[in-house]
Amino acid sequence: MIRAWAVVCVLGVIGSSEASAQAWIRDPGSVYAKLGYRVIRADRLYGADGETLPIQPYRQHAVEFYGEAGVLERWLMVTAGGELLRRGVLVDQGAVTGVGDLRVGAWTGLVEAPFRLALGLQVGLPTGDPDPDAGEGADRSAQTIADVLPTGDGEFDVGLHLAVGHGFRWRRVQQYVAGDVGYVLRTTPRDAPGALEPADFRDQLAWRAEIGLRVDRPFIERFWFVLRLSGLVVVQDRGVDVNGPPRFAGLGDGVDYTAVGLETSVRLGAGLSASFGANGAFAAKNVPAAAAWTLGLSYEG
Amino acid sequence: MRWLALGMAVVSWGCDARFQDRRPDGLDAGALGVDVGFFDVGSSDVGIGGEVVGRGAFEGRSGYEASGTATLESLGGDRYAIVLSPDFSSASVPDPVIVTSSRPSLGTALQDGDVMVARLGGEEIRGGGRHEISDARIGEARYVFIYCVPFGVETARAALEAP
Repeated sequence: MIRAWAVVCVLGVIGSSEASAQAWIRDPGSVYAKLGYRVIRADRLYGADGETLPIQPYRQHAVEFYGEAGVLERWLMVTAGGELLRRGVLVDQGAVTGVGDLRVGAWTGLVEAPFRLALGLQVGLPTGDPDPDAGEGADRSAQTIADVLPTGDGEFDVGLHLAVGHGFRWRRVQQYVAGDVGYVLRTTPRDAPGALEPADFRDQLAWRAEIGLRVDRPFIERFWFVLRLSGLVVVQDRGVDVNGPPRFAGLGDGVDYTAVGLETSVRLGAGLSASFGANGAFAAKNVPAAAAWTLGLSYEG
Repeated sequence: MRWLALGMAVVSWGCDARFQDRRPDGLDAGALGVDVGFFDVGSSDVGIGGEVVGRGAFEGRSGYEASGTATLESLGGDRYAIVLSPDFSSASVPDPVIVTSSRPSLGTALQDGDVMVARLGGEEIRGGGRHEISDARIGEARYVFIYCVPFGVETARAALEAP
């Protein structure tokens, strides 16, 4: 029952609907930028075995950004995104605040009709702190708390993605369907919490499928409604799942989930839009079990 | 060029995050009298063959499974050893530690009288190990726990009984 109610944070992999639409390569000079805020309030954790268990209340706040810019018509679009600020809090234990990891990418269009197909390369940059220091003079217990609140995974990763999309209209309803599947090559982090030796992260398969719709009626036509399914699957098997560095905040090795998300965005005018969304999962490993709520403000021009 | 170099430096070394201790006053390790110097002891293999004063089989807690036994040995004075049997295993949680206590349940926070004996790193969550520590309070212990301190979760418990 608890597991059925538990939903999981979806970190970064699920962005806004527009942000995820890499199948559509932007024209040169066309840009999209989004600034978002994400909050998670969890009192349960998805363990390494996929079961949930109670934990000290955990809070996660993140300020995220995402941007796209067209460079060459059809052939090249560059992207950048990540967490400008990430704050993890274990209530009555400790908190860690810092810059999170960043991600840059490049996309090229393969097919434009009858549907969109694009190939993308994304590189994860370890700008966050995988091993926060509790500070000079801190006791070992404080350091243990800091250990489980990293702001980054500490490793470079490379993802090769294939994105597909198609927009169509049915009566007064404008719709699109989009999907993305990618193989993410993980590497060895530069550091690990505590005295643990950094170990290789297992590669992952990232996937996403979404549908969006807009009703062309006065006022309502300002709104997009998006339903999204996504997942991150560990594709390498090491046999016994040994206890390595802490894998809790959605960072590190062995993060695995299948999630569903809802989002609505409203066009404000002058290229600006505001969005609100919630993401949750029905199966996961090594992430806090709680809803991830997002607010965003975007510009497209 | 200077910005490029700065960017590369940031990417290469990352940005240090800032930690803030939010434990209520009086609940930090020092005030509790919880011995945290154990981390330096680790899973040493030194010292063998103390007097067995208690032994118990691990049972899973919080929905987790566990196996194996814990043996409490007295090494003389206030020195003790917790010995995990070769078939010991417990759940993979962040930063698991061995804790001894006279309480049957630790709840979400350790209290005075609870003693953290060793941090189980790497593959120590499975297989045998020997962990020594000097703390007279261990002699009062009735339970050995595998415990995730930051989250306040028990994953295994062994009730000690006289041999």
